[in-house]
Amino acid sequence: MNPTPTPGVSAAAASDAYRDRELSDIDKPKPVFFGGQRYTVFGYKDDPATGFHATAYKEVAPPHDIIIAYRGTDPDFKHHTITTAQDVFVDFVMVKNKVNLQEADARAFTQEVLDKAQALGISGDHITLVGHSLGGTLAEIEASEFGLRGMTLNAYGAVDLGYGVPEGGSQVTNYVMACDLISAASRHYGQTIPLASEDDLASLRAGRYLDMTSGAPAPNPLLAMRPGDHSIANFLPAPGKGDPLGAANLAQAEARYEKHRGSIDHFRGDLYSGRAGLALALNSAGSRNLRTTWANLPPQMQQQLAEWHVTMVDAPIQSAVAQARVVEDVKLALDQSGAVVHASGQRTQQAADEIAQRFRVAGQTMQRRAGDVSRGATAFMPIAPLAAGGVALGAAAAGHVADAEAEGYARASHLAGAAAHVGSQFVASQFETARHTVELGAQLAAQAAKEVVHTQESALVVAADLTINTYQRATHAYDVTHQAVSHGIDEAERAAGQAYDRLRHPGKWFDHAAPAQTGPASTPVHADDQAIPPTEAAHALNDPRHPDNPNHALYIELHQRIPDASENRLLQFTAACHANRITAGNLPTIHLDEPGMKLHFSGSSPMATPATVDLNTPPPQPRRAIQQIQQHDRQQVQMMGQIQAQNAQFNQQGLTPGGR
Amino acid sequence: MSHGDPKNPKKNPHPVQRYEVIATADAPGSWDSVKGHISYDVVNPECTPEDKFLGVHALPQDVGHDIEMTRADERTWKGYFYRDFVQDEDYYGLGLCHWDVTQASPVFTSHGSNFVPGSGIENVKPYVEFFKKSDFLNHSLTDVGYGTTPTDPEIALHPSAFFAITVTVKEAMP
Repeated sequence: MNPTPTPGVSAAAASDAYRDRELSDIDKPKPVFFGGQRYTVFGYKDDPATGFHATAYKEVAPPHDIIIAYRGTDPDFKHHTITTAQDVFVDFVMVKNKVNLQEADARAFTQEVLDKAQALGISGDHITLVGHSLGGTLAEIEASEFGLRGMTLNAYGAVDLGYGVPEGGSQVTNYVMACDLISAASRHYGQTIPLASEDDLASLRAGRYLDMTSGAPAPNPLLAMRPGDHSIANFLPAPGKGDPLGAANLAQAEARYEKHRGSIDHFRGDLYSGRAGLALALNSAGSRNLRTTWANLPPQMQQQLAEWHVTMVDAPIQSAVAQARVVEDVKLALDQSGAVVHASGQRTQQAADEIAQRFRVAGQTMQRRAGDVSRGATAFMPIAPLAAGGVALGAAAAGHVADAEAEGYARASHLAGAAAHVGSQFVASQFETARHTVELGAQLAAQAAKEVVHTQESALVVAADLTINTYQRATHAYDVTHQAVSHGIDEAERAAGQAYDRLRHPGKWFDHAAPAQTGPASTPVHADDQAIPPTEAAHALNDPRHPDNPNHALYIELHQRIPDASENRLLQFTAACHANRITAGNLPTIHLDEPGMKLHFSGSSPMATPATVDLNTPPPQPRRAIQQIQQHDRQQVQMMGQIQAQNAQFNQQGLTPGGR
Repeated sequence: MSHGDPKNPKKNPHPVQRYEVIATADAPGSWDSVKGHISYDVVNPECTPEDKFLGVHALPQDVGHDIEMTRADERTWKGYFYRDFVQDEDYYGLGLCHWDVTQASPVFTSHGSNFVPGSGIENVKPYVEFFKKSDFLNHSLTDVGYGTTPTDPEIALHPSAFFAITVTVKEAMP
């Protein structure tokens, strides 16, 4: 006998449960169509205090199947977006709290519908509990509680929530998308049927769970997960794709899972075992400080997130920039400059302003002197490719910082650095080069002006041309790049604010579709590779000088604040600050005690403690400073491990829901 | 340009799509009251914001209202409603939200219990539901009297235990 209702009908009911209903829909039973079958609304309950919503439906045709559909979370955008996002993330403490709130409502409603059905002579055999996402969690709990059948879609499994719901069995069928993180991060009551799409297989490949080449790094679950997999739309019929839960499509998706079962189970297992750490890390983001949050993540997660950024955020930038065909030009510019200008955008702008002023003076002088010789020398030349390249890159970086907003994550602050960095470095190097040329040109011009009376007319003309063109080029480059950099910084600040928000409310990551991935053949090159001279790129990831290092921002901040300090000193400062929880974001004061030759750092965060470095002793080797940082991190990890253990203990003992 | 409150949708000031509900009931007795119930829903979800993670649209709650049914003969009642009773509006700046009829049912009431065939506007042919005579005669019935389809084998087995309510919904230009 075919199971009734069919999975497609159950899915349609789970989807319909997201509708708010009038109470008149119950006492004047309103028709609803699921898979072409006529049902009427049989019951409805909403509790604004807990956010609980559920609708019961009764089939008009015999045997009058009843479906109880629990709503996942309220999709009311104006009021519940953040709750929605939080609820459905793998944060199991939050899930637990939400479920604790709603479970009593769910139980009461289920009982009410059961009683009403019984009065009509409809037995429990004809009652099915369904739900999507957290609605599926409630369906699992109540199915277990009342011994009823159920069907869930991407549910957060109820087994670990403390309701005594056993794992497995056959009463409930849990359809889950292979790369959905909600359903993976939990154990389920009933039978779990993963469905894999071709997109899922592609994601698993990207995350190195499938078709791994030998010697590849460990799989990264963040690269494999597909936020889009959670949507209920994956289970509903749509034009062109038919009914995903129809027999043929279902068989196909199940077969895909069977074929790659090892990889999919591996990935889902990783999500399950990693969820506690991720939830804890995200919960520890207590301050509005992105860097602190980042620093609180376990190292392995930092690494996974970093890779995720490189792939999802930086790689698209890289490819966009590469397509702009300016990378070579800019690289050339940076090579030429040779100078390691690690100035912030602001400092560069100041410096550039000064230089520009000197240019104007020099240019005027030069023009005056040269004017007599060659009026034509002031002719404006087309902007050099170099300048155009810089502008394009600056704009591209700024644009992509804005894009990073859509793509999801906090690397924006880092990208701001990159944007300013690229822009400022470009400006600096341009001016560096240009200044020499102009100075040389001005000297030549002056010399030539003296000699003009004599013989070397032609030499002067050449020199003046060269000088003026370079000047024009540089001023123009300065103006446009200045603009691009300022814009980039504004955008980045905005994006960083939003990124922080996302980190706090990770579900927001999923507000937007993930960016298209670059093909597996193209090795992602970090955007910073253009910004940082080659010597720097050679630093190991555990070195704060490496742009992906969590302390890189601190290192850069210290460098900007103390420009004269050597790299070894800066590393020493970085380690000292890190050990005292002083970060780039909370470092308001650096005080130099001159008589004692001591440098005092104090952070504004309540977590931070003052740090002091004695400048009388020479700085340690970089290796030593890095070891110090790592040691501190290990202690942090140990501490977090203890918190986690305590949490787990607490969960086992303390949080059994009341009345059970 | 978004405006209007989807929770309190405006009534269309100039409705034109007039419909007629004709309901026939062969009940084993007289009704206490007969009304009509018309329910409206936004039928194009794409005009509302979507929670992309859940894949769900934030649809406005449905709007229902009762209409008068007048008796045409011993067993037949007629009522009228406008299909474009609720004003279409662009609530979210995502395009016009279109309200359409999702229920057009007669509501037959006996001793406080409603007997309501689950009919909508999609019925071209008459829509028939069978109800239990025992429910009609049970004065202590507190719930709704639920109908069943004409194909229910129970009806063939016990034809005298059921009575039919037949509904026809059709355009009725004034």
